Order: sequence, then structure tokens, then C-alpha cells
Amino acid sequence: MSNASGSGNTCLHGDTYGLTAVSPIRPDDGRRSPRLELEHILNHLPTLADSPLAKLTDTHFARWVVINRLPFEGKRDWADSLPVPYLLFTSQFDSSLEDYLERMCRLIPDTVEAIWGTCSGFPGTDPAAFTRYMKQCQVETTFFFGAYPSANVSEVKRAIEIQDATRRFVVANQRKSPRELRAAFQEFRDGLFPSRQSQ
Amino acid sequence: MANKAGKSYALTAMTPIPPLKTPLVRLVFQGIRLGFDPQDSANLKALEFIHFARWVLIPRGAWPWFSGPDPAEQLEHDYMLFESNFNGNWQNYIGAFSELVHVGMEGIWGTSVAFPGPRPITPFLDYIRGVQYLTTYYYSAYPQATTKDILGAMRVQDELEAFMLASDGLSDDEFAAAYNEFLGRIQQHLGRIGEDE
Repeated sequence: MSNASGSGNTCLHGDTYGLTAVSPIRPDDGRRSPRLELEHILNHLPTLADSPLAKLTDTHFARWVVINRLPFEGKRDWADSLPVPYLLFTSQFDSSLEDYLERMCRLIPDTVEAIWGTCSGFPGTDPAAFTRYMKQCQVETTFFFGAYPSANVSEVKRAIEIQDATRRFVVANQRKSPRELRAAFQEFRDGLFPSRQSQ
Repeated sequence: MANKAGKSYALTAMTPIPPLKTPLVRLVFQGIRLGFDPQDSANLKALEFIHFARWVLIPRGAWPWFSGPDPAEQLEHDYMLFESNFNGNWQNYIGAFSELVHVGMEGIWGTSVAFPGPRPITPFLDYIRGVQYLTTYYYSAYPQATTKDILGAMRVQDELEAFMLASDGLSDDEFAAAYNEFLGRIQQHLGRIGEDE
């Protein structure tokens, strides 16, 4: 159901869910710095197709940001400071929040443990406990919009696949006779849409 | 590389807002949802380089804390997080906002402490640099596709499916003519996705 009002955590005019969570990082204890450990983990996490987040196949975009300070561009004596750094996690995905968090625990438990293990209050990767924890860390998104709000990740990737196949067909079939072109197109469409094979 | 995943750039910024002014910001977003600034919305959509973007108001008491007295209650300000997933150059992106969506920008960020306004551009760029965070880790499901690529691909898909339906039953010559018209509608969207910029 399209979110016509753009309220809360769902994308305006679409179904994509925007999770925003801030988790307090455990303070340094003189021997260990969880913040430095966290930054090391994030800086060495595999990226692109090897990213653990790729296993959550409905994730459009996601990020982790270490919030070391609260920015302040005005008079410095009015600046706030947080007692500890915070870990910001945002993700845009196609499923419900509960489903997504459950899959995080089931599909990438080592990543979840390594990253949120540096944060206070982290209960481990039991899905129910992790979901309760993340809901405590969640901040409601105020306004969320996107360029293709109703398309899920599979649909985006399928559109890219079709575009690429069409581009290659066009290049390969220039200067064909009408009969040759039609025959080539029928083969092309049958390969691209096998469930809709032409008669 | 921090802040980037393929062709997508992650902008993460946070600005302080005096708590008494936070309801004004919520009103601005309500107005945007109701379509009170159609020109800014049209300009934003026409830019076609933003995949997703969000604003999150974080009241000063909303920072989670799991043991002892909540020290975040000592904060003087609420905070507004802005995150964007876009393509292209950071400076061009901010510049485009400044130029084309300046009414919305003033409404959204006007209550943030020390906001210089979207124009002129130089102080605005300096301000964003000051409130921006390094995104430590960034993931994209389709890193080699820009927003324009994706919207173009969707257009190609729609046109292809329509052409498939319309071309059934045509003679070979009629098919070839219809195919050429189909090409004319999709030609601009047939660039190779994934080519380095």
C-alpha cells in the first residue's frame, strides 16, 4: 500500500521502510576502546557484492556512521556534547522492520555481534531480544522520499537487466530486414520473459 | 572508500535546533507532504540524482541510554539528521539544492543554529562541511547505477512491455515501423549502465 502521506518511517508515495537507529557505544575503560574497535571493524568490512548487507537482499542502501560529536557552527559555548559516541545505522529496505531485524540475526549474526557488541545494552543476536533493542534505539523518520519509492530491490535490478538486454539487442539488430528483425525480437522476448513466450 | 559505494555518495549531516523551534520544522515537513511548495518539489524531482533522502528529528531526550541517569537530558538542543543517497559530486549536489530548492531549504534548515541560508553558495557549503559526518561504511544494492539510470531502465521496461503487447498481430513491415517508433521513445535511455563516469 502506497504511503501517500509520507508519514513516519515509510517512503512518501511508496512502501520502502527507512530505519534510523542510534546506539550508545560503550565507553573506553582505559584498556579497551570500543569506539576504535568499532571503527576498525567497519573499515575492514567487505564491500559491494561481498558486503554482509548483500545477504539482506531487500536492502536498497544502508550505512553505519560513528557519531563522535554533535556539530555546532554557532557560538562554541552553546555547543552540546554527548556522554559517549553513538553508532548511527540507517537502512532502506522492502520488508517490515521485524522481518528485517530477524533476518539480520539469522543471516549475518557475526556482523551484528561484532558491530553492536561494541554498544551498550546490546542483548546478543536472539531475534526477539535484538528487535526489542533496536526498537529502543530507533528514532522515527520525520520525512522520507525517494526517486522510485514503489520499486523494491528485485524490481530495480530486473529493470536494469531488461535495459541492458534491450540495449544489446538494439545494437546487434541494426539494418535487419523486417522479417529478420521480427524473428530476432521474438527470440529476444522469449528469452527475457520465458513465462510469456509468444505463440 | 567512506562516503561512496560505486556511483552513490552518502551524505550524513546533523544540525542543532532550539527545542522551541522544532515544532516549526515539523510543520514545514507537513506542508511539503501536503504539496505546499510544488515548484521546489518539481525541481527536486527533475534533478534525478537522489535515490533516497530522509530527515529525522531527534528530540534531546530521544538518545537511547541503557544504564543510570540519562546524560542526554542535559542537551540544550534537539537535532535534525539529514541523510541522502545521491550520484555525482558533493559540491554540485549542494549547489543544486541551493539553486533550485532554496525555498524548501530555508524552511527546513532555517531554524538550525547558525544556518547561513542556501544563498550565497560559499557560506552554505562551509556550513554543510561543518555539520557533515564521515560515513564510515556505506552499502548500495546497485552501486553502478545512478538514479537516472534506474529511472531510464524502468522507462525502457515499460515501453518494451507496451511494445510487446502492441506488436502482436502486425505484419512484418508494420512491426518494423512500430519498432522504430519504440526505439525513438527509448533511445535516450539506452546508455550502458555501469560505465565509469
